[in-house]
Amino acid sequence: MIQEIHGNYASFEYTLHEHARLTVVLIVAQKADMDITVRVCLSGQGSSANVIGLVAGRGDHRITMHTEQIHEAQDTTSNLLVKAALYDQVQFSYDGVIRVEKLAQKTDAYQKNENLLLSPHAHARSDPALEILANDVRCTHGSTTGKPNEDQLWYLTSRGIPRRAATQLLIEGFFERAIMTISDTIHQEQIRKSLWQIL
Amino acid sequence: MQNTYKYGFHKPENYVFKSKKGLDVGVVEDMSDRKKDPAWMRLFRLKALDQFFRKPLPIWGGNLTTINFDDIYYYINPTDKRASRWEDLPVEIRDTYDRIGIPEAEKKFLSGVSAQYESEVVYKSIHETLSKKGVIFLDMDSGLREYPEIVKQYFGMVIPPGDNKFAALNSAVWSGGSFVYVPKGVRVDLPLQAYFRINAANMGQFERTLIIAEEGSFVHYVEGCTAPIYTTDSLHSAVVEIIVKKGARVRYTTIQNWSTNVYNLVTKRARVEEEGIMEWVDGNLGSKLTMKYPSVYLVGRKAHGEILSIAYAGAGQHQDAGGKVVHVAAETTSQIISKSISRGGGRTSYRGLVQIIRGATNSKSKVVCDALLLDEASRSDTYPTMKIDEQDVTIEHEATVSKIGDEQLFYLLSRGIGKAQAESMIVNGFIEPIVKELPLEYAVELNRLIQLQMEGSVG
Repeated sequence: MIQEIHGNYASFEYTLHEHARLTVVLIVAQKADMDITVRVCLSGQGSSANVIGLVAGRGDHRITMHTEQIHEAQDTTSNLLVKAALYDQVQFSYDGVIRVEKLAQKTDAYQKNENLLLSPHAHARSDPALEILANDVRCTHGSTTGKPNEDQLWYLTSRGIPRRAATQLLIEGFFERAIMTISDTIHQEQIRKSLWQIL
Repeated sequence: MQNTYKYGFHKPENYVFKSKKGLDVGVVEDMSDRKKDPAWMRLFRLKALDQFFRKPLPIWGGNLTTINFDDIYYYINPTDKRASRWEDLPVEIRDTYDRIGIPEAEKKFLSGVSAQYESEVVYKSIHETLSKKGVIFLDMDSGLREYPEIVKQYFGMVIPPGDNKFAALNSAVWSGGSFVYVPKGVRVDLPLQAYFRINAANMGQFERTLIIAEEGSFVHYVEGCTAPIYTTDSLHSAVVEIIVKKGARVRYTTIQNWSTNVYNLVTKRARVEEEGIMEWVDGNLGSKLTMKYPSVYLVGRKAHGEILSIAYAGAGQHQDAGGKVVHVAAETTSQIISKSISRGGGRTSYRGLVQIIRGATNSKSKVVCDALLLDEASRSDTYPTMKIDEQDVTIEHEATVSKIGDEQLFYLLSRGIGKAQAESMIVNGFIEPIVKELPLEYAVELNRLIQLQMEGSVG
């Protein structure tokens, strides 16, 4: 399921029943203020959800993204990856929670937020949270924020690629790692097209 | 650490002065008179009291709604004179500390001890070599009296009374604590240490510590405390301010093992100048609720801050701990490592902040939080916040919550080691990266406590 976000506000809620599988890709690439909420509730045993958020922020806008991975049943899995490329003076704020209720034993839950700062005035805030009440689980989360890797840039520019184009390549690579995880190649192309409209 | 609380005894009360219960302007003025505060400190206290009354309780963190501020004694002075030798201490107080085992510790490791009994420091002994080097290690009251110029310059600089409700409370009724001043270039090789104890029912502990490390100096301060068990709740609201000047290094180690009726709400903060280093080693094992986030403000170029935190929560306990780092200057680095264990219905929460102010270019920060949930009744939370206002930085955060690995357990069991012992070995291995930073006697006691918890009677 691919959702391109239009307009300033979007909220998605998914409830997964037994053995359900869900993959959601959210593309946030408008030149406007945005406030997005994604809530995934794994209430059926054996269900699994995969959420990918790709954000390209431009201009002087505020983009807020809020996610929830709620595990209520046993043997459930969730995997959330939010990648944001931030230009100009954009302000990006991500907060997300993985909540594993007491009965949701044998849960595997992952949450990752990666922010690429492409201008000195971009601002990122990241608040990933974990609330774990069951003990037989594996839950991890991570967050990294930084600018394009200087060594990688040097490698490309030393082969005659202008710096600007080299940075573009790195940004493509940044998103590609998430896009690659989607099994359907047609969907992959769709996603690339939507993203590159703004990048 | 509920069921193994072997220090849960208390001495019959024998105090020279005890304030009436509850807090008002009169109590603070009376305390200020008895302490013979200079005018500026008296004013400081009264202004802080006003701020305390005006501020609301925080709505995040643990549950503070059951604290009854009117039902606490805010000031007790156990003896009027201060002893400079162990033998000069009143018998009761000596006895209390004998049972905790200070004399041996002092002989082996320490260069000076300020022991705090209720609100006053009753015993201090400063090694001759320290005084010769110009190092000052006094209780805070004496520090204020003997070095007013230094104290006035730094008191409240790092943590102003208005910072939060409990800093305001401490600023109004503080008593006891340590004052440490290390002159330029001086290295204090042996750790400085202090102990605390809450004795009277409903006694609040409001010690205030101020540590100043001048350029190029080094000091390691160690704090460990224990309190007897009471049915009514006790409150411990301390403030620790540390100033680390250019090229200096300060390490502050705490092992907190308050009995499980104590509210432990502490504000600890260090300000680090150019190329300075601050290391917080924070062990939270006891208390009913601890809210403590040792902080480092990196205000000078290439300053470095580290926060190593261990939290253990058993039945009925909530450890809400973590750390805060604010990068103000360029090329600053920080590291936070948090290891927590929840058992028997306990709850551990990591709460942290990494903030990069614009201008703090080429800064790096890494936060790693690992939590172990040992059974179905326990809970673990992680609430990190990252606020990044500068492009040229590298910020990483990762956290993991899990139980003891089945393969690790199987490996030990298959070699004939009993389940409880195997689990305690694994837990001790889990916290080892931080335990190895503790002074030896703490490391030993910590490992033993963990073992007792895991192998002993069900909590």
